Amino acid sequence: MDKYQALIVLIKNSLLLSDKSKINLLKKVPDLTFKEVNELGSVLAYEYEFIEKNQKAIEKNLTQLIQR
Amino acid sequence: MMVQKEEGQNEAWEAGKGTSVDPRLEAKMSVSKKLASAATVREVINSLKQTSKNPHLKKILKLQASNFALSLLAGLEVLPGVTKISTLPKVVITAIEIASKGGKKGYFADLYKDVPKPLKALPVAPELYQSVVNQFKTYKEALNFGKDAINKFVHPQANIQAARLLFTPQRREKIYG
Repeated sequence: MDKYQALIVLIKNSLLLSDKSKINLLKKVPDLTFKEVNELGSVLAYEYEFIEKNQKAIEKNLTQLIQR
Repeated sequence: MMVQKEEGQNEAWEAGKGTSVDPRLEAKMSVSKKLASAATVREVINSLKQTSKNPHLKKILKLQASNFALSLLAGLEVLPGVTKISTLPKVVITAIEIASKGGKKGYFADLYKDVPKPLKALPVAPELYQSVVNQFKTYKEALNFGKDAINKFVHPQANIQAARLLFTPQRREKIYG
């Protein structure tokens, strides 16, 4: 898997992007520069890290909110 | 779309009215703007790590992680208009306040009543209001979505994990080094 393919995987599975934004971004991926791929890929990878690091707090708060 | 409005929200609502409602406009957002948005968010997150020197950001850290994540979820869609880091705390707070209209009234307001006034006075990109309102039209769905997200991240698919590692070299070294 190269970085372009990896970026496509991350875009498709992103939680931050809407479906419409995903489609728009996926169309643009082939035209992105390597630098842009790195930048966007890093952000989307960080998305996972953010939720992973805050997993317990998120889980607790979401459960509380849903139960209200 | 019909959205409930509170009296105190009218001014902000009117400010945002007619600015970025058109879905065609949203569709025209360029990748560069998206990248700028993402970079801004990253900057905010990095800054949040250095809260000891900034009392305002310290307050922001009191925000629940889930709300911050949900706000980012909404904010990333329109953040190009918000480029200054100083506006982000207010953006997050406002997002949560508006989100509360779709949830239990007063709940978030009680949680964040001690947010300092200077933060509340900061300007917010009007586009964000519309985006947040749209986002939280399905507020409860967003919460359930958050739960699903946790499950997804706890047990990520192999290809997602591999893709992620390509962009996080430190972690790869930790695992394979």
